[in-house]
Amino acid sequence: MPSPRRRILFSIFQLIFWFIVFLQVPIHGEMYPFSFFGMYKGSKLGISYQAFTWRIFRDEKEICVGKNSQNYQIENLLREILLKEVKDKNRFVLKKGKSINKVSRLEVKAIEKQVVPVILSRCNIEPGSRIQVRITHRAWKKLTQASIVKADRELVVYKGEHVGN
Amino acid sequence: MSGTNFVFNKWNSFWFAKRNPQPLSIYRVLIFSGLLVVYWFFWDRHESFFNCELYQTVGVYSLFGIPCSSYLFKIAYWAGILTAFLALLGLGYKWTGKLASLFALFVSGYIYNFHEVYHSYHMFIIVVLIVGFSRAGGSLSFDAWLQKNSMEDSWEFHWPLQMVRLYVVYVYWIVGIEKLYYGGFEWAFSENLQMIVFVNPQKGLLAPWFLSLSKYSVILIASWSLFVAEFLSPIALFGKKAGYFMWFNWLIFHIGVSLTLGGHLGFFSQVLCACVFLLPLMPGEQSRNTN
Repeated sequence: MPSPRRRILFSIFQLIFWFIVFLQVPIHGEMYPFSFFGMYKGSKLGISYQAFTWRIFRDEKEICVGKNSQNYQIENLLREILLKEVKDKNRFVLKKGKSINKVSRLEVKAIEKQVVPVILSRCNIEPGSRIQVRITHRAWKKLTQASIVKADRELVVYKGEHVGN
Repeated sequence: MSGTNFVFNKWNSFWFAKRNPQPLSIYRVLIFSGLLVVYWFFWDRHESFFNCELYQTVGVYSLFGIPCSSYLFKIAYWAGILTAFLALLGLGYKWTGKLASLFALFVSGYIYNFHEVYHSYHMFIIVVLIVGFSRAGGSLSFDAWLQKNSMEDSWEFHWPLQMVRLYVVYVYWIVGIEKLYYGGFEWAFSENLQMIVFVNPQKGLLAPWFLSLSKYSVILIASWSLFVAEFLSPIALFGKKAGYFMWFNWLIFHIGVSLTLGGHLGFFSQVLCACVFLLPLMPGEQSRNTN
């Protein structure tokens, strides 16, 4: 048995460790231990992949971004976007959704970089179809601030060009 | 016995029981062998992350510039491999263990998005840090061989294993909780999992089979993964057999994920971490003493 002093020090160490570990969950929505090295919350430079979550309801033809789904690693998608031709322009409607998960700059970049058209093409959704995309408030705010979307929430995505209205 | 004494006694017996050095050393060999494999996984990844404008460093990583020079990173990468190998051999473990774990933290964090450990490896890196900062070189090591005197049983060989046990269980459990919190029961009781596979059917070997399943079969698999493999993971702490059972569950769970969703190989590092629940099968555990 260690001395009382060592036991106290050990207990303090345990408290700090578990505090840090628990802290990851509310900050990141998923546990990324030791990301406190660079918490992006409040950081201008902070980016992360994990907020980009989505799923597709086959029947309703709805893409849901940022809610109710498993995290999806968009790095592969981003790579594919650089490699894959997205020839058709797709028209879809952005619609505000519940703010469930935080949204990173990269998520907005992902929309800019046309992740959505790739998803559409993968799911065999015809170009020109009206697709509802639910995104979080924060992403919506960033998109509108960047003049990426119009007030009527419609936007057209072109391959290889700036996303504009 | 008062309630306070009961809590203190439990606390003391949980963390400060005496144990011989062998189980922790066996675990050290497992973990640092795994770390070398992880480095091998990292081998070609860092190249694609440099000069990428999408990425910006944050926190302490920003000290290295945006991004860190390839030359500097390669030094850290090879130093990580060298120290991990020395820690595996248990040579100068007092220093090599700590250095190996710190290099592992830096490299794994940097190649992802310059500040976070990717979620496949976060459990593994924490476990590497716990083992690296403990006295895991007490047996099955060059240090022990050079020292010649066998080490006495001590609590210092016990607490790291207890901490790893707690941590592994916690990670699986919290992931289950998060699914319920963010996705609700709909995550398990809907076709959500099938939809995730649906958008990437070419990735997993069993994906076509998975897509052909009925809705109820999918719900059964999803709910099993959520409730048994994740939500009920704390039962692993209650006895050896429960630990074996949960380890097997986690193994099957990760194999299933890899075959249906494709990839996800990094998560097998978590199965390696969970091998702490298999240590009672090892020879060193039979002579375990508790005070």
